[in-house]
Order: sequence, then C-alpha cells, then structure tokens
Amino acid sequence: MALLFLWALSGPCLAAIDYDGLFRQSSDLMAQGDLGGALDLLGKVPPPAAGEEAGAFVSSRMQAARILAAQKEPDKAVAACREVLKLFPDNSEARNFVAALEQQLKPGWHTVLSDTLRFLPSLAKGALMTLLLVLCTMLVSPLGGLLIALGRISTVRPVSGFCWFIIWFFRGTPLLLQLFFIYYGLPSLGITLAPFTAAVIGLGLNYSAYLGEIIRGAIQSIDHGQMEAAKAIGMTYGQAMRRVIVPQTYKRLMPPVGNEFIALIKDTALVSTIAMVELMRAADQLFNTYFNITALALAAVIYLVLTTIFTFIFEKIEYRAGIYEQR
Amino acid sequence: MKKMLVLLSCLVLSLLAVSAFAGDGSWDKVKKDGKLVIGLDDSFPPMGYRLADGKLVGFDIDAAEEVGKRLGIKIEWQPTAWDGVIHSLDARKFDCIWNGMTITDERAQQVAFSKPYIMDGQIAIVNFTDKRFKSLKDLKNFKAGTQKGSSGIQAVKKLANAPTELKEYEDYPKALLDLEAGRIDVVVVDNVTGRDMIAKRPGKFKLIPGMISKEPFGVAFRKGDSDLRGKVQQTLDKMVKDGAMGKISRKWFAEDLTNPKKF
Repeated sequence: MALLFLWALSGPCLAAIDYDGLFRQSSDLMAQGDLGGALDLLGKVPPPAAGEEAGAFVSSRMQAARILAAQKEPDKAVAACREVLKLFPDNSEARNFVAALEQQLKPGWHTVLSDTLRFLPSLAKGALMTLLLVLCTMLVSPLGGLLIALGRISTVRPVSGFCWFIIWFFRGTPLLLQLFFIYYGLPSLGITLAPFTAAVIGLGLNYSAYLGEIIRGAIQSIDHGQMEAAKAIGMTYGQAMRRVIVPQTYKRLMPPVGNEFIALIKDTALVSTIAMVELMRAADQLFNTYFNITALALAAVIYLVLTTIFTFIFEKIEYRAGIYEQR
Repeated sequence: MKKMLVLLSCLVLSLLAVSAFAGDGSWDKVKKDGKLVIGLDDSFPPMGYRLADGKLVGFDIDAAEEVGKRLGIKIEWQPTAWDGVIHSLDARKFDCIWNGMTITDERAQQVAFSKPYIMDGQIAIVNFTDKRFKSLKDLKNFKAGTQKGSSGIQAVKKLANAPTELKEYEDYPKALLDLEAGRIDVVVVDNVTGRDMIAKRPGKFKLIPGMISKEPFGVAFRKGDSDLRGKVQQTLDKMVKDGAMGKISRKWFAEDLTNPKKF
C-alpha cells in the first residue's frame, strides 16, 4: 500500500523533474553555503523504477555523499553510497567512496598498517629492481672509472684528451637527459635497447665519469717518489701501478666512492622515466591508484634501509682496506 | 605512357578485387589462434583496472569478454604502458587497444577505430569549499590542470573563458592534489575517471554541473585489419541491439552510456 502510494507520488512528477536543473540548483545552494538545502534537493531524485535509467539517481546520491562527507557525517555519507550499491553492487565510484570513508573512520595507526601490508609486495618488487640496478652499476662503473683515470693521467695525448672529453660530457649534462637520449634517442640511430640495458649503460657511463676523477685524485695523491722507486727497482709502469700505487689508493678511495654509491642508489629513481618499474615508479603507481601518500613514505623508508645497509658495508670495507695503515 | 597508366590501374584494380575476396586474414588468424590479444593500461578505473588481489575488472573487461564469448574465442589481456600504446599495436604486441580510448582525429590517422561504443564527457572538478564557480560559464580568471597528452587539453579550449594558466600533470591524481593544495582552481578530466578518482578522497572535491564536451570511446585496431574490426563491430552492434551492452553499462555506470541513439 505504502509502495503504491509512493509510486503514485513519484510517478507523475518523475517526468516533471528536470535533473540538470536540479543539479544546477543544488550546486548554487552549495555555493551559497546552504548545504542542507542542497541535500534536500538531491534527495528528491527517486530511486529508478525497474528498467529505468539510474544515472541521475546515482549522481544525486554521490553528490549527497560528497556533501555529507564534507560535513563530517561519514555514517550518513556511507548510507547514501549504500543506496547506490544496493542497486549497483559493482559501481566503483560508490565502492571507492565507502572504502575511503571506512578508512577514515578507523584509527590512524590501523590505516597506516593496512596500507603498508597492501603496498609492501609491489614496493618490494620495485626495491629488488632498484637493488639490481645499483649492483650492476657498482660492477661497471669502478672499472670504467679506473680506465678513465688511467687514461686521464696517460702521457699519450689522444687518450688523455678522449678521457677528458668523456668526463667533460657526462659530468656536464644532466643524468636524466643522458638516460632520455640513450633510451628514446638511440632508436632513431637504429640502436634499440631494453629499458634495463639502457639504464645500466646510462648510470654506468655517468658514474664512471665521476669515479674517474675520484680515482685520478687518489692515484695522484700517492707520493711521486713511490713510482720512481718502483721503476728504480726494475718494475714497468704497469707493474708499479698494479703492485704499488693502486693498492695504496683503496683506503682513501672508500669515503668518496661510498658517497657516490649512496648517491647512485637515489639516482636510480631517475630511471623510472624510461619505462622501468623500480622502487620510485612502483611507489608512484600506488600513489596514483590509491591516492595515498603512504606509498611514497614507505618508499622513502625502503630507500633509507638500502642506503643504511650500503653505508655499513662501505665502512667495513674502508676499515679492511686500511688495516695496514692503522697505528 | 598512357598504356602504362592503363596497365597500372588494371593491376591495382585486380589487386583490390583479390583482396576484397580473400580478406586481410586478420580475423582468420585470431580465429585460428583461438584468442584475441587486447592491449590495455591495467590501472585505468573504471574501464580496466586491478583489484587488490590482482583480478582484472572494469567495463571494458566485461564488454570484451562478452564479445569473445560470442565469437567463440578467448580474450588475452596484455598490460602495456599507455605511453606509446599505438607503437606497440603496430609492433603486433597485441591485436587491438580496448581501454577507454577517446576517438580523436589525431589518433584516427594512426589506427582504425571501431564505432564509438560509449559516450563519455569532460567535466570540471573544483574544491568542495570553492564558492566562486557555480557553472561552467562562471569559470573566469582561473588556473586549470589536466593530464599530459589527454583529451582534457582540447576540452579546456572549449570553455567559454580561457584559463589564465593550463598546467599539465603526469597523471590526474597529482592534478587533483594540486587542486586540493589550492595552486590551481579547476581540474578538467573525463567524467567516468574523474568521478571514480574523487570518490577516493571524500569531502574534498565537487563537480561543476554539466559537461564541457562529449567524448566517444572506441576500440583501436591496426589500419590493415579491417576483417577483425568488422567482426568485432558486428558483435558489438548485436550486443547493443539485444541489450547486453546496456546491461554492462548499467552495472558500472548505473546508466546506459552505450546507446548510439543518445550519442
């Protein structure tokens, strides 16, 4: 009976309701600060009869939910969404809204904990890729750096000139630009690299250039007399370098090289721009999907863990390398 | 010279005739493989996205699966980066792109679109507490934001007044956060995506009533694959006629956005 009455009431005026006008009116009321009035207007949109389009109904309830949420009435806002979900259980707008409101109702620590558990798997996968990039670059760049350093102090002009050029170029341009060029630019020259290869080449060249200067400084800091002494007892230049000079540089190399490698861990984030999913990109994807700053905070924590581990390892290596110079 | 021309045109004509009979083989190949590979950016709610447990859901997923069922083939979803998606289509990484793709003239030069299967539109989102803009016409002296490379950029040009500044963001959530911070006044975004996104931050944003422009979504095929496109289009047409598309549309959007009569 009551249903019939409702139907009789809503039936005739259904055609009369101008939904666009109603939304405009309610929006005007909202702009004037009359949120209650806007809610009343939106409430006038009836649930759809069977087989009828429900776009206006859903829009009205969702708009009402927005107002109620802004008025700090989460329970009523959830109720408005549930009206939609009762008819359309898959409506992702209403589902998102309810999920977000329910998160708000829970205590802060609970939200952070559940977000952490939800995000950690993808972040861990990204962190693994970051670690792999770091390790590969750490293998490549000291070798490149040593070659560049030896080339720089070489007396053969073309060699030292070439090495000077490499340092000049890779230190003088942004790493981001270098990565873009290697990944997006080289294909037009017929060289198409996989993202990972391009990333390791870009990071490797850049860090080789920096390490080259550090290694050169370390080599040249060893007293010149040692080279002369080594040569005097019959060693060749190569032998003197290998057996006398370079081993002595290890200890003094560690602090600046450690510095560079810590910087490298963070610089891998730049690789996210060349279609690679590492830690930064993974965090960004989560941030976009869930609209949630926790993803970025977690990424920061993971970066800190990585840099802490490497700092610790470098300190150990430095201690070992200098064991003969300790007093 | 004339002879040459005649000969040439004969050759072209006969080639055309042969190809008309034989088809381009694109459908035959899909039928033989028993699967249609569809490329998508699987983080585009509510068209195609993953739930927390990794399950792929969305309007496009339901529609394409229904097409696959009717054609007796399996649908294989190939996640891809949206950036350069057309290049990947040309590189045969998949057979088509079905991912809430707006039909634009620019894109239509590179791919063969199906007929529009949904009509979406661009809307304007403002801060909930903003009392300056009641309607789209009220938008004056404002800074707008939208996603880089999106059709929102074209939509902004259709507004009555041009914004003092149009900022382009990496993605929409960043634009919305900048709006929340008050550094821009309006975010222009398509209706289904925008509403889905602001639902994740309840009480912060509201919509300005009305749509800025209409936006048809289409399925993109390679230019040469007209057989495949024809087959999918035929099935889609049937699904519109027997109400299957309307049903899927109501499931996701509570209304039928797929009826060509309303476009």
